Amino acid sequence: MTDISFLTATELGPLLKSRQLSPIELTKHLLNRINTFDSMLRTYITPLHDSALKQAKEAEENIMRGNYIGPLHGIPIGVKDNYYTKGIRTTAGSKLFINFIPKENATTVDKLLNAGGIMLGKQNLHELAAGSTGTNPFFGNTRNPWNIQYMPGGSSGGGTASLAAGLAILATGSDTFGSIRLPASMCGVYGLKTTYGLVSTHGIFPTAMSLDTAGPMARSVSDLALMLHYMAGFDANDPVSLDAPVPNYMADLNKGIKGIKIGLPAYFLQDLAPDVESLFKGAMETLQYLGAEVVDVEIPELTLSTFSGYTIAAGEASALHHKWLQTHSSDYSADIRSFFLAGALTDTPQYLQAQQARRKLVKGFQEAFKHVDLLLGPTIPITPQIYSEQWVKQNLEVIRSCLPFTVPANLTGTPSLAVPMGLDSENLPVGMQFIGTPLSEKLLLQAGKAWESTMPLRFRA
Amino acid sequence: MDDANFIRQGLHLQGLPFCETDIPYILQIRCTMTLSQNALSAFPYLNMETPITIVDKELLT
Repeated sequence: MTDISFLTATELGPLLKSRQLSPIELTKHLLNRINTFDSMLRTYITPLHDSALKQAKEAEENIMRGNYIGPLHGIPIGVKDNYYTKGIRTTAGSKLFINFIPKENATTVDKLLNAGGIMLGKQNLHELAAGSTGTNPFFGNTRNPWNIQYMPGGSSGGGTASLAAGLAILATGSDTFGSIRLPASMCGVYGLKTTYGLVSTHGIFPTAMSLDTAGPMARSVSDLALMLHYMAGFDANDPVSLDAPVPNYMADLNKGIKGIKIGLPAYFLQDLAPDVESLFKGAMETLQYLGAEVVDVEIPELTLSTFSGYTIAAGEASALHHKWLQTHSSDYSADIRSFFLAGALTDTPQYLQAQQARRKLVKGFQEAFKHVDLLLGPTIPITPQIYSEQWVKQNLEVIRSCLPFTVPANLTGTPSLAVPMGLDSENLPVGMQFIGTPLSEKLLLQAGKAWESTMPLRFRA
Repeated sequence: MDDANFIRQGLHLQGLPFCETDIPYILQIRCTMTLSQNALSAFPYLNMETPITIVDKELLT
C-alpha cells in the first residue's frame, strides 16, 4: 500500500477526482502525522485542524456531487506564516506579530483556496523571513527531517521540512535572498523563485520590497508547475505586479532539454564544499548525457552581488522595521536585530551604489543570455549544518556563504529553480539551481523535469 | 572599516536601542558589506548606471 503522505499533488489529483481517495481521509492522515511528528520537527506554527477538516468536507461534498474543479481540489497545502490569512493568526515568525490577525487573505492564498486547495496550517519560518537557518526562538527551531540534528535552511524551512517529512503535499514560500531555494536544497525538495512581479506579493509581509518574491515549493517539478499555474498572474493590488500572459506551465513539461544551452559561470564554482563540488560535476555530466550543451560563460558583474545584495536587503528591511526597532527592540532575536541594525547604518550613497551595481548585474545577465538559454550553479556552496549553540553567529555565517549564490536571481528579478542534486557524505541533501531569463519559468520547469527524471537523490558525493 | 564606537554612535543618533552583545555581530555584517564593496573598483564607470529605483504604475497614470 502506497503511503499517501508522500504522493505528489499530481499523483493525488486523479485519485481524488475519481473518488478513490477522499479529501477528508487525506487531510486527516496529514493532520495525524502533524500531531505525531511536529512537536519534534516544528514545521507548523499554527496547524489548522478544524478549518482544514471543514474545507476537506466541503471538497468531498463537491467532488461527490460531480463538481470537481481542478487538480488542486482537495489537496492539502501548508502556507508560510508570512502570508496573510483572514481571521487566522499570521506571525511572520516574529514576536512582534504574535497576535496579529489579518482582515484579508494574501492574493495567492485566495487563489489557492479558490482552486480547491485545503489550508493545512501556517508554517514556521526563520523570523521575519530574514534568516537562513530555520532557527526561531519564539516558535521553536524547525528540524531537518533527514536528520533532526541539522538545520532545514530558511527562511521557508517550515515548508520544505514539512514536504520532506510528509506533513504537507504542497507549500508556499517567499524568497528575498534565497528563502525558497536554500531550504529546498537542504531538505531535498523543489522550489521556484519566480520572476519579480509574476506572483503577487500583496498580503505577504515584506522583507526587502525590491527583492521580495513569492513562489511554490513541492516534492516534484510537476507540482511546482501546478501551483504556479494558480499562483501567477496580474494583481491590481500589487504595485509591482506584472501584467504579462501566464502560459500553461503544465503543458510540454516532458519536452526535455536536448539542445538547450546551459551556461556555467565560474563565479558559482568558488568556495564550494567538497561534496557540493563533486555532486555538481556529476550533475553537469548528467545534463550533457540528457542532451544539454553545457558551456562556460563569463559574467564578471556577478562579483557585485554580495555588496548589492547585502546593502539592499539589509537597508530595505531596516527601513521597514525602523520604527519597531526603536520601540520594540527586544522583540527581535539577536541575529535578525543585528542584521537590520547593520542595514540602518547603510547610508544613501551606499544604497544607490548598490542599485547601480544591480543594474550593471542585470546588463551582465542580459549579455550572457544572448549566448545561453539557462544558467546553472549549485544552489548554495555548503551542505546542511548541524545546529550550533551559537545560533546567532551560525545564521550570519550561513547568510554570508549562501547569499552570494542565491541573491543574483533576486537582484536581477530572474526566475531560479532549485532542484535536489544528490546526498552528501552525511546523507543529507544538496541542491543546484537553474536560472533563466525573466518569465522563462516554463523553460526552467521543463529543464527541471528532465533533471528530475534522473532521480537525483540517488546520487551520492 | 567600522569600529564598535562608530556602530554605537550611529545607532544612538537614530534612536535605535541595541544590546552590547549585538555589536560584534553588527561589526561582522558591516565588515562583509565593506569588503564586498571592493568589487566596485573593477567597474570604474558604475556612475554611468542609473540606480534601480521603483517608479510604480500608480505614479505614471
